[in-house]
Amino acid sequence: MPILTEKQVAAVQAHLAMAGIKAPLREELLDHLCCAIEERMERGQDFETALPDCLHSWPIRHLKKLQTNILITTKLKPMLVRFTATAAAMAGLVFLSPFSLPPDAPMERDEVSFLLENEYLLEEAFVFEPPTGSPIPGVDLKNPDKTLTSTFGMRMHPIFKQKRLHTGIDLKADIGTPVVATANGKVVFAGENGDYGICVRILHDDGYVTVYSHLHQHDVIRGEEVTQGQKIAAVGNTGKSMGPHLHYEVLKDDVPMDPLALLEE
Amino acid sequence: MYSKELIKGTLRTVVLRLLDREGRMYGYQMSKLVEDMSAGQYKLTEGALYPLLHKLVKDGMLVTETETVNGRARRYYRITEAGRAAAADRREEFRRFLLTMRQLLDLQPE
Repeated sequence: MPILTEKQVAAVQAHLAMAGIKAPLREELLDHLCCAIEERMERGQDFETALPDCLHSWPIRHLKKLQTNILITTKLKPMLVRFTATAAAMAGLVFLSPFSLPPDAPMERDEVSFLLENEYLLEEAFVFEPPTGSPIPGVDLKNPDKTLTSTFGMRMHPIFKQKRLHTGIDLKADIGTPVVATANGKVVFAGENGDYGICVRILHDDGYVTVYSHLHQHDVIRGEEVTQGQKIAAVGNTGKSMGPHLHYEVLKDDVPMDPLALLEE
Repeated sequence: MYSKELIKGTLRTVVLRLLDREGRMYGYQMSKLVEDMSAGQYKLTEGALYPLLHKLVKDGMLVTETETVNGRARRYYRITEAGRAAAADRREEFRRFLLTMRQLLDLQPE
């Protein structure tokens, strides 16, 4: 596959600059357009023919509309929803806001930054609380005493004898001790999961997922909606486990977080 | 090529399914793959694809990773667990929808 030279890339970039596309969308569309041109060159066209051919299907007014659409779907619409919810309390702000614009009208820069600033102000009140409940009723995560047998972070793995990131916390408990959901959500997995043994995964708002592992049994099935405090399983010793305990994880956008650190926020 | 309405109603299902299968992809790669798989019948236009991708990121279904490839910044989209759950749900809903349409339109397999 041919690769465009710096000079050729600059020619493509000039077209996007003319449409007034701003970074980081500009970089993304630049790569897309360059790929499309390279594809044509692979099929035998030269750059001088491929460029106008590709740009033909990317007229400047389409590009401008694309940028506005992204702004509207990702910034303006969620904003509108939030504003509706707080309309009474925020009467003053609503009065000043430019929401009388028809949805397709191009937004001026000042209006956009106004929206962004106010979204930032309002976000705090509506942000989903991360899962902070205790997975075992009666265990106070802020003061777990001897129940907490392993914390989050790098440690020597007791079975593999290697330094590894321990992606959750371990809570010691007898087999059969009830395990509950730490926040409202939907079960996305319940069953046998290799080293994790019998395992339940719950998806919450805002990209949080909680994971409960080495269970003796699970009481919920995939697709079920659960509420905070609802019994979902029982402590066990399944999978790679050295004794009855609950391995509890919290992930945000697939990245493991320290469940105890969330409590302090 | 299929009508805009049909594509608009299924775009999210298709994109989530692709990412569920492939793990991560960049925009051009998605439009190319869909075009190839559908023999050019299903076109993911940039005007529809990128607003959707940015929306899915905003909703926590995807996360982005930028890498330099051939001297250019390339933005990859990786599916999250929330995205995988949505992908499975939408695919299943569409499967049932197809069966319903077969009844409603009295379609016979050719």
